[in-house]
Amino acid sequence: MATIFTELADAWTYDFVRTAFLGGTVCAALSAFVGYFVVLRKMAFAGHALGHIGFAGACAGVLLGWGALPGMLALNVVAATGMGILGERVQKSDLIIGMMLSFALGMGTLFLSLFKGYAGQATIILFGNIWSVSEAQVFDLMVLTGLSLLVLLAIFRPLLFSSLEPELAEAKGVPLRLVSVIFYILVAVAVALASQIVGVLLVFTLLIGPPATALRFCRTVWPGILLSLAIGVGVTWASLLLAYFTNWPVSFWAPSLLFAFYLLSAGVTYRRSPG
Amino acid sequence: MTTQRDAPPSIRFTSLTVRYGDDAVITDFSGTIQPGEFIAVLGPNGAGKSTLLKTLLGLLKPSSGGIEIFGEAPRRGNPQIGYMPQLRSNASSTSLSGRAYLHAVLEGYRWGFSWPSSSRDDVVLAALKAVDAESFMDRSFDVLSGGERQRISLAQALLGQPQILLLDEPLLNLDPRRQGELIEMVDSVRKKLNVTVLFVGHDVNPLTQVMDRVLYIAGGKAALGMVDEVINSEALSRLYDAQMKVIKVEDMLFIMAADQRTIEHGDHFH
Ligand SMILES: Nc1ncnc2c1ncn2[C@@H]1O[C@H](COP(=O)(O)OP(=O)(O)OP(=O)(O)O)[C@@H](O)[C@H]1O
Ligand SMILES: [Mg+2]
Repeated sequence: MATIFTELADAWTYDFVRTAFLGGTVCAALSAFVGYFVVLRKMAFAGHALGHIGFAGACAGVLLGWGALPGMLALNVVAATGMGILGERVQKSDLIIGMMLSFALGMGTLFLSLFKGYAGQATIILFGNIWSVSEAQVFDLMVLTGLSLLVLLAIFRPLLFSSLEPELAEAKGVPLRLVSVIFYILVAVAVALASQIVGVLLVFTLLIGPPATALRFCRTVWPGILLSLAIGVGVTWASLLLAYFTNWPVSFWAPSLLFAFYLLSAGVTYRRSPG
Repeated sequence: MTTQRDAPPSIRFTSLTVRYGDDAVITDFSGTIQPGEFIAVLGPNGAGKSTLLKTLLGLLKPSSGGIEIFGEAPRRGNPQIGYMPQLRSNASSTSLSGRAYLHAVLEGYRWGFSWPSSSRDDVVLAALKAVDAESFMDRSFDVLSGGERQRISLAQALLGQPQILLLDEPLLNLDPRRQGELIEMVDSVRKKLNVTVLFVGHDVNPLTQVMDRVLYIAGGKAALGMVDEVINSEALSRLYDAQMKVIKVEDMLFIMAADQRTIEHGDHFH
């Protein structure tokens, strides 16, 4: 027992561990909060697609020398604005999203083939590498998360209302399209940040896993959001610790833990309400 | 009616015409509805009942003519109107509770966020009590029966003490006993608060006891009047532009297309 604590204390003296935890925490928190509404609005597939679109953006960013995150943010925000404007039609059409997604992956592959260091960059973008995030990058992540949370709180009530009952919300004066566009952009940012921890292939894990589990347990909104945050951040911490000690990737631990958690919660709620 | 004559009408239609593109849904319709009146809005599928409500809500602009609501043009977000949309399955497949749903609707049109507060709790609880939904208000929306959802949806329409209730097919999915209970509920709210009710339905019979007048929409036209004035063979034939037959059996009205011998209303519950 004592050795674990000394090892932990030891780990904490490394800068890269502290930055990884800080970066992981803010990214996971934003994903868990934004993801709550993604699940409510049933736009999980759109979130998934934004991850793949982000892949193309990240590759383009690397190619242009901006870095992966700015490239990803730029393309994601453009795509998200489009999705938000098309609104309901995109949400209902898995086909359009599927086409955009494969197109983006194709573009990403092209960009990757255009520069050297292909394999290394691709792996980082696809699977993330939170250990290699620098202090300056963590600062960017924190600023982006802070801004996104402010915007999310500013549109909280109309977003919730229009997620549940769009027609009624419109009748009550909610500008549906504006709210939808702003929200898609928030999803785009959350996806870009989540991919820093687990990579674009696994953003789904952090964006959907925690809120989907929270919604199973909480029938009211704020407790649901808080539980989602707790699960998202908790799983990220646990994965970072396990990854540190086992040397297996975070991108293995995070989805595995969440999946186990989800199965456990499904079992509990299934038992509670048979049939 | 108990209303004073000089009070402004609740709703006034003046030569109202509503179209989608070139298709006229309602043509040149005029009429007034007084505060506290219970109006049954009837007509076949696709006649324009929901469209009329959307026009009152300001979601749809009249092509010509106009509507006044307490003397003013319809506008989105009018707090005088409570609205219960026609139930769609995807809107109610959330695992949130009915109570949480009402909290989301209450002040949901305002920017920003709000923490839970006891004064809002009270408002929500009062609305849920009014529709007798206390026993299932904390249950997940997606496990509620159709009738329970309808009552939560009605409670939502009562939030904010509206003076006009626009209810789009609140009897959908209800068995005859539940239909009667819901109509009673709406009627008692109306009497208590002198609310004007526009109640969209497919069948006139469950409503005959409580309603004051009928607004019938068919064939791109609308007619407002007492049941006997509107639901008779001649008047309906004029609306439908086809030979219609109204048959009365022990106070029950049945409407049939004379040539097809099909019952237009009275036998279907969707
Ligand atoms: N946004 C729209 N654009 C074009 N046409 C529309 C639109 N909404 C409705 N319509 C058409 O207008 C007509 C009236 O529709 P509405 O929904 O008002 O009928 P309704 O009387 O409520 O029918 P139901 O009993 O089936 O609910 C229908 O023919 C419908 O297809
Ligand atoms: Mg309708």
